[in-house]
Amino acid sequence: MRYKMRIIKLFIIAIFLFMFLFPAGADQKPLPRIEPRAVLRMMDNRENIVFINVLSFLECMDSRIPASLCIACEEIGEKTGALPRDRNAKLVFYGGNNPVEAGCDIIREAQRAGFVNLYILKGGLTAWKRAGYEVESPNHIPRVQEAALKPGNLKPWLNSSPTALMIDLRSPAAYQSHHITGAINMPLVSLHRTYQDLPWDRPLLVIDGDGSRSFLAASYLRRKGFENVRRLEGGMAAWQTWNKRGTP
Amino acid sequence: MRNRGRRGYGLCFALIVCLAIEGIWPAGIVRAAGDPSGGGRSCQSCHADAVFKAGFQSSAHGRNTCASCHTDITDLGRHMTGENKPSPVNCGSCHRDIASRFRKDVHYVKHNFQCQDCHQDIHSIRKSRDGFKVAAVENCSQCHSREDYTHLGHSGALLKGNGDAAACTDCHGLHNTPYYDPSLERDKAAARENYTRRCRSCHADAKMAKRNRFSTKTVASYDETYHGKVLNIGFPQRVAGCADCHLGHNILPKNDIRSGMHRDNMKTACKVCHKGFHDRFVAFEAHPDPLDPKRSPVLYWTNVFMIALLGGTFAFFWLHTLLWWRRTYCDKCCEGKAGFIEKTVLPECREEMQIQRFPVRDRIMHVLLILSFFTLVMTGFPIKYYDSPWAKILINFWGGAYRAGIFHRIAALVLCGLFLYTLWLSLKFLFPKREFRGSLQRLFGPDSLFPNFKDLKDIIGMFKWFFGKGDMPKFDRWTYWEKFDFLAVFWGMTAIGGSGFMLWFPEAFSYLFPGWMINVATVVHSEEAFLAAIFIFTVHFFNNHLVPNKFPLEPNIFTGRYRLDALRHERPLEYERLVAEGRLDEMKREGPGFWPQLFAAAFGLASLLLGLLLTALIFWAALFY
Repeated sequence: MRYKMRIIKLFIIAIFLFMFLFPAGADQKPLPRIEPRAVLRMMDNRENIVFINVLSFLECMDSRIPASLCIACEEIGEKTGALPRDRNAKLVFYGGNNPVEAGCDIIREAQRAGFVNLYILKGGLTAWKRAGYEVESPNHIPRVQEAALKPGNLKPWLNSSPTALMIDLRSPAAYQSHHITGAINMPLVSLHRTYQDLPWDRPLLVIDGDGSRSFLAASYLRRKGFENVRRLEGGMAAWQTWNKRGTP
Repeated sequence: MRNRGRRGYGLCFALIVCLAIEGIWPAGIVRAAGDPSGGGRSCQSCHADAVFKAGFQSSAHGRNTCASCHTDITDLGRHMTGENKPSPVNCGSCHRDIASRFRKDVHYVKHNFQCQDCHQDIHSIRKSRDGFKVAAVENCSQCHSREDYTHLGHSGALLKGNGDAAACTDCHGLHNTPYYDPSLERDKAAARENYTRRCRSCHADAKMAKRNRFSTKTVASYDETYHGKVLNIGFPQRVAGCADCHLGHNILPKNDIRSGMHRDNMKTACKVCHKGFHDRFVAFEAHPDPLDPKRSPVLYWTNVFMIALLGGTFAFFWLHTLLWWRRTYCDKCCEGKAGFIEKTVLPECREEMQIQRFPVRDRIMHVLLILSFFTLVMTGFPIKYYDSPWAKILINFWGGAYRAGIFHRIAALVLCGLFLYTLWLSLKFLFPKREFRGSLQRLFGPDSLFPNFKDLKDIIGMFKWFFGKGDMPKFDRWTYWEKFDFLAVFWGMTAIGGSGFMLWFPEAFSYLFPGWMINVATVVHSEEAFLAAIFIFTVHFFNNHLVPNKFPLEPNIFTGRYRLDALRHERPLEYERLVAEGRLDEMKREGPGFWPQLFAAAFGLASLLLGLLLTALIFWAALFY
């Protein structure tokens, strides 16, 4: 009896030890990053490659690798059905010049759905273009020629335009963590659906994370008929730097 | 009948018109649009705004028709009903070169711009009356904040009509504005190199400088700083380029608070790389001119002193060497009676009785000295002569400027250690067992490396011997040139070591000295390095190894042994002293074994050859670059 108890104790210790050494989630290894050239080689070998652009719908339609699926990181559920049926297909996720976030929901959804060959395109669409490969623009948004507002000029601008509305284009989580007082959250990923809720007669200022995405959003809104749209140069990153150092 | 016939023709004409309206007309329009003489008038019947009516005909593309660019409108009916939407125009079908370059442009790579995003006035585009540069500024500043560029510096001059002043495209390129990812070190380095090159293209242009009354010395003096040298040799990763200090667009007088050169802003610029410095750090001259006594008097006089030191030292010792070589050569070849013994040949040494001249400690120290000295020369001189052809090869041998810097510092620490140890040994020699009595006698005695009155007499005697006016002086344990070698290290280590540490820790030294002392340290370090290297590789090498009766190598510093007959001939006073004191027998040793001799030959000759090669490279660079 004592021997059995000892066995049980050891078994319990072993289980705890196992849980300690191999915690939940430890099997979620980061996806392999693949160079554009390597993807092209795979395509030449007629492997079943499916590109998935995880940026917003507007960005994806403006510029994407030919035949890419447009499924933003946050768009799980509604667009999960767009994933290919062949679970052996190689899914290559890519964003803009910023790396695809580790917590991108659509990647986790693909893993859950049974896809095993998942890759992240190293350097994203920017690297793809730099390598000289083709892209397509199913719905190019003509860019609006409007000078951006520097962080240092934000307060004077707000004073001169008291009815101005600041639109934070980042994700709700990023917005929750910090935002400029008075800014509303309207994620870029759903802007093409929500822009009609914006006031047509007020000056708008679009703000993103680092200034690389607001240009397209401002151009889109101008194209949709909003006449006074500006963007914050350098986005929230520049705003924070300016607040710390007093310089842009 | 005639009337009926006319009516018949009229009906036919009406039928033709109807048919044309039904089907033939649209194709006719497209054909007309494709006809240069037609000038796209048919398109204007719908696209009737002022741009198409007035502007297009006189625009740069006015000789084309609509269909020249909008090639995919082939069915006007479907186009008019909106079924056939034209795709964006492929400007690259004509502007192939621009399209090819634009594929690397940041506007395309990062922001997916297409031609019409910048050229929104494409239907009325024409040459600007104010010139291309002004047009470029106007176009770029549509999106890029105007306050940075268009109100300041270069553009101020450009908009006032100075065609030499830089437009956006002069620095950033046109249709090939490179994309640099700020998160990638290699991109940051490439950007720094590119923009520094762009600045240089105008600021080093003598004709442009004359026209615009600025000095090309700005570039030349930057090139002589550590920043400039390392950047120019091809490693811009960790040094400041032009835009790092001048903050891109704020090119204004330095007393303007908006200028990157304003004292307050310079601190911000310096802080990007240098941490924890005193405010006086910014007094560092990024464009020093050691030849201008008004601008930097201390730097000027330091430079004058160093040049005088170099000139004086080399004038004396090279003359000394030359005369010695002439005398011994004549003795050996013409008269057959050399002042010294015949040349040392290593295998013969085994058979002869020798004495212990250098203990193992001194030999190890000398080997370490050689290794550290060569490392310092081979890592430092490529930076000093960055523009010579061999500099890049040598710096790449070490794995780049940054790694060469690490080796340089390690070697410097080894050398400092040797120096401190030598200092300790010297004190022990002067004050054995803390005995102060007799230290003066020891200081000026025959075993001391400190010069005494006899050395002065020996110098005079040596010059007399050079000219055949007397015999060679009789030397004791140390000759005057050996004493000079030893004592020069004390000056050299103070000058080169002190300045080296200042350059290594400029931020810490800013708490002691103003920033321009870094410029002074640079001059001292550089000139003293030249003096040390060339002195060792020419004077020291000749005096100890290459003098005809010792050629090609005097191995006693490696083997530790000195031949007895050599002692008798070269240092007769020491020999007589040792005999008189009865110490000679206890110093006698067998000749060095095979391995010490092999090491001496291999290491010694390799060092000699390397030193001579480096001398040739240094002179090549100093004279021609």
